[in-house]
Amino acid sequence: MRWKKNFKLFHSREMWKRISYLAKKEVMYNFRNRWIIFLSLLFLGLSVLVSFYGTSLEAHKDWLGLQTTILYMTTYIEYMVPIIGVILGYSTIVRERKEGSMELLLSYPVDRGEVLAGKFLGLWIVLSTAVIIGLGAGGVVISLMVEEVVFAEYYLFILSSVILGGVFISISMMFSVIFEEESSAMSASIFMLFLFTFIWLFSMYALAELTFGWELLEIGQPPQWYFILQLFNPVMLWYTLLALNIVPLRDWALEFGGKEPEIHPYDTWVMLVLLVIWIAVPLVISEIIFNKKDID
Amino acid sequence: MSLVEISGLEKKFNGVEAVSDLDLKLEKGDIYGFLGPNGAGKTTTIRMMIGLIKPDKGTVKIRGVDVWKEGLDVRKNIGYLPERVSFYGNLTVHENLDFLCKMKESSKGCVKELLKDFKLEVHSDKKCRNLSKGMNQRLGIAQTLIGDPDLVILDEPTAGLDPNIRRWVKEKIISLKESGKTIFISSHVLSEVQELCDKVGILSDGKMLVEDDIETLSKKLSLKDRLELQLEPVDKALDLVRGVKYIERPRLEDGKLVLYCNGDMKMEVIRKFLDESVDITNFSVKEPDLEEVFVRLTEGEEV
Ligand SMILES: Nc1ncnc2c1ncn2[C@@H]1O[C@H](COP(=O)(O)OP(=O)(O)OP(=O)(O)O)[C@@H](O)[C@H]1O
Ligand SMILES: [Mg+2]
Repeated sequence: MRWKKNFKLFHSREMWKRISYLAKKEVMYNFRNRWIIFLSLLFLGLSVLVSFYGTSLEAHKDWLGLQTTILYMTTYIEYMVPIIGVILGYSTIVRERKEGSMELLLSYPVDRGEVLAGKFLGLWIVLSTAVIIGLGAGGVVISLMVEEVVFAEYYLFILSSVILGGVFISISMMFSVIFEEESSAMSASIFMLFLFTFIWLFSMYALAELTFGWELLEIGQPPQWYFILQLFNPVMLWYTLLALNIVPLRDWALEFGGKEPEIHPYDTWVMLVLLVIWIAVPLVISEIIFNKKDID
Repeated sequence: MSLVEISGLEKKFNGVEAVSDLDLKLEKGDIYGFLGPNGAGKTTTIRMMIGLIKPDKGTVKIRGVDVWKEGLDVRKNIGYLPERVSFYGNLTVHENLDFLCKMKESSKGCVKELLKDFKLEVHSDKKCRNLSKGMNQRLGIAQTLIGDPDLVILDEPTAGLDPNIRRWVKEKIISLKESGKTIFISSHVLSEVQELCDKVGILSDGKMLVEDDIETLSKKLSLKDRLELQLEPVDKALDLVRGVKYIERPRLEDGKLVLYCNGDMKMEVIRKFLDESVDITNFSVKEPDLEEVFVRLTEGEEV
């Protein structure tokens, strides 16, 4: 019944119109948010700084020689993009419920699922804009400093970062739907952020030490299940996706095979699909929960 | 088929009943006053009428459609003013209205018309978070008219407003009434809805106490006026009126003597005080209020 209804709606132009209005409203709202503007500028500044500094130091001024630069960039993006995603997502529902604008909105002819879809799209557009401008500026600096840039690889770098951001928006938005207090949604989101960026790494090391031993990890030959476990962390997925495709990173990863990112026995598409699943699943959970909630 | 049909509606919050076994019908063109003291369950009922909260039991049907299950189409034809209406503080009045008009697929000129009708043009570029309460409420009422709905539900539209805006709101509601809309107004002040509504329902502790058209109700209950007097010495005055047959519920409130009596006995009361050389520094007569209705209703039960 529910699926039937959703299927019918899927074809409705009205629905997509409403989702686009909601997304537009969300974009407008967030572009007036000082925090987001500050973070985007920080992102832009860091990109330019890192790419300029990195390329000036690098001895070999070609794409393969950009190992350190690209490594620096991935390291700060790994934190920056999830942080922006969380800041955009964690309060978006719970705050509107507290303020009361959600009550007004839901008294309009709109489906709660559409509200979530519109919000997600809007927030994703905001994040993507920040990422594309930030990394784009970095790319410009690199192409000025380095002779032959492999743009396809750099585009993938941008695209995968945008998708990673989507994952963090989706998860923190789910917390925003679940919790009744902004502070709870924030705590859960921050914990999730730490889990996927720090805690995971150390737990995996500890797990390696306790089971098959550190040595196998150091030569990059841990057992299969260790790789599979990594797939449950979107940041790891993103990292692997990059390591599989961006030559300087792959070379670096191979050189230090013992450290992450390990080269997975899976290809790029698997990583991409898994990342998209990481976006979709929290959204579906949000929809189910939000549809049951009392809005007051 | 009634326009709105509420049957067996029930809602509990943490085990406490906010609304219990409520039945209510609203016919097309009705102007219905939904009365009840604070916490009676008015807002909870209204939220269930819009499909914002899920009834524990019972249904709300509008034009025969269950609002919780399939509210989307129903809401195209409802205007709703929440108790504490709130807009996107970060966006301007114009932007908020524009967004809401689009959500209701209203025509292009919708925003302009509303801004003009509600005299909000000068505030059009103000961020909503900077609006005064009265302005916010005005915008709140404006948005109920987007898409020209047949049914308008107003949750305490005049609460907390100054007399000027209050009068303006009332006039607006009267003009809605004249344009043939069905209007549902909640309030905890009897006099507020008395002039506007032709039908009232009184809610208490989540239950409908009484439902009738307003004239029958006041006749049936023979409601009494409320007198508030500033007297000197006030204690002596209180002693004087205690036990007098035509005076009811005398008591002190904020240093004032409050009592209820029939409209034609007011002068009698005043004379009584003057005769006993009690000084009257001020007094006011209020029309029957909810307290009075409740007293009458429970009296009826005792008989
Ligand atoms: N979300 C909620 N959680 C817990 N209790 C609630 C919730 N919403 C309402 N209540 C309770 O339900 C009862 C009815 O509240 P409601 O807001 O419907 O009353 P009301 O008639 O609108 O009162 P008022 O005139 O003060 O607006 C109250 O006791 C209130 O505390
Ligand atoms: Mg209320």
